[in-house]
Amino acid sequence: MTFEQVPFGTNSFAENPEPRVPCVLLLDVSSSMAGEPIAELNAGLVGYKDELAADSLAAKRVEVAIVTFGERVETVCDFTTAEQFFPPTLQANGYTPMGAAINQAIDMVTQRKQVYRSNGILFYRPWIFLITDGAPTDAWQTAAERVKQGESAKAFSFFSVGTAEANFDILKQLSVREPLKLKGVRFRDLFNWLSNSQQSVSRSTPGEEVKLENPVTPSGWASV
Amino acid sequence: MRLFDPQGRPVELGDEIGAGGEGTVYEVRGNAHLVAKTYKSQPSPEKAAKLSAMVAAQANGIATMAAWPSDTLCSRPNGPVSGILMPRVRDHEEIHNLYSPAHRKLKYADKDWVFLVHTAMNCATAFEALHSLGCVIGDVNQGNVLVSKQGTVFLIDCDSFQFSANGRVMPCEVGVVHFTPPELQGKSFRSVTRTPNHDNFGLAVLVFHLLFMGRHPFAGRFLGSGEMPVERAVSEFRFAYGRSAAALQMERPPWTLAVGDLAPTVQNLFERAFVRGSEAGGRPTAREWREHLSALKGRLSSCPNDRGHRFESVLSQCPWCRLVQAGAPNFFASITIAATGTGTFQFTLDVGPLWNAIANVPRPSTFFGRMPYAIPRPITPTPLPPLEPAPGMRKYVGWVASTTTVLALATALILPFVAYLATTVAVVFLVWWLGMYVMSPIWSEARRRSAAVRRNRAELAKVQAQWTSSAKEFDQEFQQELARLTQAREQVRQLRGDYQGELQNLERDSYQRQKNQYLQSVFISDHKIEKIGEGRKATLESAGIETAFDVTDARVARIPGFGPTLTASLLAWRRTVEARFQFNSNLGIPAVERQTLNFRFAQRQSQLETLLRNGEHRLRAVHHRARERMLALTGEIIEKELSVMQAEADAELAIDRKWT
Repeated sequence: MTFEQVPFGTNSFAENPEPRVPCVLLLDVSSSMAGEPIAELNAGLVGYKDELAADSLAAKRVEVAIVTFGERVETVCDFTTAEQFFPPTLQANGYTPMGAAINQAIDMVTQRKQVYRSNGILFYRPWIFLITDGAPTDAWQTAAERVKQGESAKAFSFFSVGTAEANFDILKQLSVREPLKLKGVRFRDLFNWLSNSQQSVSRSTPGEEVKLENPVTPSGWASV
Repeated sequence: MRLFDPQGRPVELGDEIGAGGEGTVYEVRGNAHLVAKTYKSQPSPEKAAKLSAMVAAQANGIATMAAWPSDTLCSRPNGPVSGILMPRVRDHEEIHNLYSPAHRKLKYADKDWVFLVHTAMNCATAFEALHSLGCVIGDVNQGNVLVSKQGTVFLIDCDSFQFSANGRVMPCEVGVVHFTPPELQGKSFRSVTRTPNHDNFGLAVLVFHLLFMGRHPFAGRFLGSGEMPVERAVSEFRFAYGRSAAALQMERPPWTLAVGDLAPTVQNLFERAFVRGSEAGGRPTAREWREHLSALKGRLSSCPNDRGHRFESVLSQCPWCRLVQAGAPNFFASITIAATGTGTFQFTLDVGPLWNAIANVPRPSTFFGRMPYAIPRPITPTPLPPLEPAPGMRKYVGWVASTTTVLALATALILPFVAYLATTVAVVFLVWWLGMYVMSPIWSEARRRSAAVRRNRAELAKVQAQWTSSAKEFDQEFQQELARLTQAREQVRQLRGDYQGELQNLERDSYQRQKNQYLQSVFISDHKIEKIGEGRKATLESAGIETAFDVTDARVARIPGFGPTLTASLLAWRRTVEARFQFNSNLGIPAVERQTLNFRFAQRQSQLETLLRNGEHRLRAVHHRARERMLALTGEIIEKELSVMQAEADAELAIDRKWT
């Protein structure tokens, strides 16, 4: 017999056996994010929670984890349902250890899937959503290789968003999907798009690609 | 906005209620029971014909079960169909808010399993009604089945249902994989004609969700290798709770109800709905579900231990209690909590039996308090290997060595030269003689055997050290767990006192609040107060001191002209007013505050109960692990001790023979 702590409310698989939509937010908190960008990013996270929590199906299905990279790579928040997610207030500091952060996100996603399987919980393809305003300051080639493998095995979907200052040459090598360029500091619009997309995913068929709303429009938050 | 019904009569639309991908829903002015849906793009002639046919087919009572179109709408009189009228639904929730325990506890806090069975029965009734109209729902899912607080079910998105018009089947083009039967998995919905048997799969999945705490029948632990996504599990008929689950390499997830917790008649319905072969048409119909669920509802028993638990009367034990004892959450905890109401909370948790169970778990140190040892026993030493006999020469070398030594001693004082020579020869021969021993096979055998003794002793010491540290660790772990449980028991004992304390605080607050209200209602101007005439009253009033409540030492002292005498007189008056105050305990603590307090303590009691109920299991787990490990180590120690004894006996045998 094995024993586990009994988690609370929607985070308990027994009390909330709904299929899960896991998502790791990989957020750049290097010192260059200081000031308005980090403030907007924090505001974006708050809006993101509110939107998801207001949708009672997505609140039970979408699971968020946050890994930040700056002074160090840190799991600020481990997987939690949107309902039980309390957005942290992030602070900008340090370098951009993006490679290590991506590796950590991939490990977390792999472990999480194992937890789902042992609890008989259905799940959708996990998302890893990278947001950065710079270039990696550590080795990122292994991470890029793992992203490619994961994408081709359909183990997860890796999205990357950079601000205008980000190094898109490297982002293109990191991500199989086309990296998106954030217009200005429109983090709130980005998170609004993210929560809408996850709401659609949470109503779709696990394993099937969902047609996402294109953010690259004149009024959208991104450009390519 | 104004639209027209098929007779050309205008229909005035009110505020927008909601918008989806396909259309927008508006209120209908002057009719609170209807809403209008307008399509974003003009419906095709086929779709328009389907909608008109649905309107024509509507039956009595359908409006209470489904958003069935009651009329079509056109943007101009006699124009093409651009929208529909349908019944309005209020105060309903999407069904996942009921079947998911986490949200049920919030949104249907007082609803038990009877209510879930009842709702499942109503789902079947709604399906039955739609099927009788020749309609197939097609897209059964967690979002288009709505439930009221009475457990009645209302189906929405009827215009997407499959319906035949003018002899042509208008397909339902959408579907959600979780509710789609195996035979349709991976197929395009545009090209298939759905049958009621397909719907009956979706209905069975819905019923399963309601009865099994939101679990999907095909979501289990896959024991094989590779991925088992839901579409594969469904299309391969891998019903994780079914009789052939093991054969299909599926295992029911932890902390779930088993189909064995239902009467065989209901079990059979699930088997028939989900097993291979059901695609041919054998799934239970909506009517069968309705009848069996109605029977199930009628025969449920109440659990003697938890008022929230209801279960099949055929069972001898409450399955919900069994799950709680296995460490699962109490799926119906909210019912007890909701029932606490506004009275004084009754603490029902009896720690006694729980604690007896905990105290019965023996502390690990009671069965490994002393280091184990092997009982000494006669040991047969390993015989020496056949050894080459000592070389004959050794005897002569020894003889020369001893003779020369004697000679050297004898001549030491009288013939120094001879003695010197004899000593030299003696030393050489002595070394030679010893060397012959040391290099002999018996000596090397003895060395080998001594090394074995040292090695075995070291290994024994290592296992013994492991034994000591493991014993300490297990004992500590056990004691820590026990300390946690002891603390929980103490907390349970303190619950009543804590509750009384908080209740007294609330009462004190409410006493003070009532008293203040009373003092504020007693005006100085209405009373005769010694030495305080009208003029002084006016002065007080202008300083904001109007009622008995305002009369305090500090405030009065600030008013010019009010010395100790006048102040004393005012305070004395206040005291007489205060003395007349009577606390009305009926007005006591506001209901909301009392309920919040009750709720908090009910939750705390429930948490502590879960902890204590799991306590015995947790301790036994430590005990069990300790036992396994310590027994294994004991075995090793004894084995090692015997090895040491054997090695010692072996070495002794060789050592005894060294000088022979």
